[in-house]
Amino acid sequence: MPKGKKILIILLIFVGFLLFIFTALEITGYYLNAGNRSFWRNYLKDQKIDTDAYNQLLKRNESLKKKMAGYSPKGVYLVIDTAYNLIYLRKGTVTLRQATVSCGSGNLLEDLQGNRRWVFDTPRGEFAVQSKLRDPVWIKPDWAFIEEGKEIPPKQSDERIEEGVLGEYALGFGDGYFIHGTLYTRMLGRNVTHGCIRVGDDDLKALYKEATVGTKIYIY
Amino acid sequence: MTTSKHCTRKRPSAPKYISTEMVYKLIGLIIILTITMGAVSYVPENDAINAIEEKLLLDAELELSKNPDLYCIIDLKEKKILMKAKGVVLRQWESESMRFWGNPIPLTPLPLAKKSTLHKPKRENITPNGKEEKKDSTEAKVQAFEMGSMPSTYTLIIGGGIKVSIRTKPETRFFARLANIGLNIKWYTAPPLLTVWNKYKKKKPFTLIDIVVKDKKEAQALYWTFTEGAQCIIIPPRDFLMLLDFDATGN
Repeated sequence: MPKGKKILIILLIFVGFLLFIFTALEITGYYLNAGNRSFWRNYLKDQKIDTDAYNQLLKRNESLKKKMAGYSPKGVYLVIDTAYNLIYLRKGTVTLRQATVSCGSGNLLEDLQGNRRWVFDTPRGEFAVQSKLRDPVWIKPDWAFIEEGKEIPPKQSDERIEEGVLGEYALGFGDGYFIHGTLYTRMLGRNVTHGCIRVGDDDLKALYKEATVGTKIYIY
Repeated sequence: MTTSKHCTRKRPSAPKYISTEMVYKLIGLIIILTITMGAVSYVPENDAINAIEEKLLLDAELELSKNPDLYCIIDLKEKKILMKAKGVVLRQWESESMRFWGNPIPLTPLPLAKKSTLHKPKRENITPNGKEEKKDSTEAKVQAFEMGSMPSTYTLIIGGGIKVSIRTKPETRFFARLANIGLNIKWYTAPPLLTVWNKYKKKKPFTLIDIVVKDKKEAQALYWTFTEGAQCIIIPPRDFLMLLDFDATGN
């Protein structure tokens, strides 16, 4: 037999062997996975559920649903989608109003000494309206001066006060975060803020009117 | 043609009386049937499972609703993903397809340990004394970490050895379709091998979930919305639900 043919046969046998192993492993894998499926059948073979137990189970489910409903927000609440930059005013499952907003840019800022670091994200989770302000003024925090490359003034300095940049209304929801107006209306729909939520004038007015202190805010 | 003969045919006569012995037998039979069938009636399997599943889901959600954190539900039965808080659906994503492989999983809250992707999106550093936003300028360059910077193909690693891979519906482009065929081949060949490996070598349970969403934006929005450390509830296909000390009759 020529040498080349011999090598070819050996190669074919080797590939066939590998294929055989692969197929065997695949079949074993599928067989083991099929074994995972039989759970309920085994469970109900051991534990039949009679009508009384079933009715009890249904009753308990109903009471759990009632408990759950107790946690859900009462009255109107705000939902903020930071991915699509949208705010929803809702009551139950009904959306009463929807508006485009600007949320946090997610950028990073460090002071020149490298001692402090800020991440400009809009916080996520459940919050509540803590304050309602008319004609709010912005008390500029340290990062605003660092960002502009300016000296940081003392805490009570007038330099920190900036009027007219937050619009006509603001809803505070803790840790210095606000839902407020904006001068940069073209930026609505983009993530450009330092964590606050900027809303257009008409929508802000409507939200201010509907929300009260304690109104829940859900941000995701 | 009918004849009068057919009409006048006599019916077989009914018995004139029923013996008391027969009455007793009949009553006895009814009693036996009542005892054996009526006294313990079992609920159809399907209804029982539905009620148990509902109970498990409510228990899990109730636990999460007690705190202010958001949580997500990956519902493999209804093929949707829900972002929730306090039992309220904040956002819902419909999935094109969801596939499941591996060990059964419990219907309990599980933490999202990691979001794994080939190219992790990076946050921009602000240079102090940098730009100022131009009022109403269309040309203003936005330096932001936005949804568009998020990946559209990634894996969520959830506690208990669960890997959820998320990708988008194959596009019409040739190479995208080819890549999709490759991913399908991978789905049907890799998990069985991993099952064998895990069973005999690692001895750890593992579960793979493959989710295909409508488009790139949806996948990116999901990546944006899922936060590491958040709690997830996965509703597995019925055959893959694991019960942890569940007693249908007790508490």
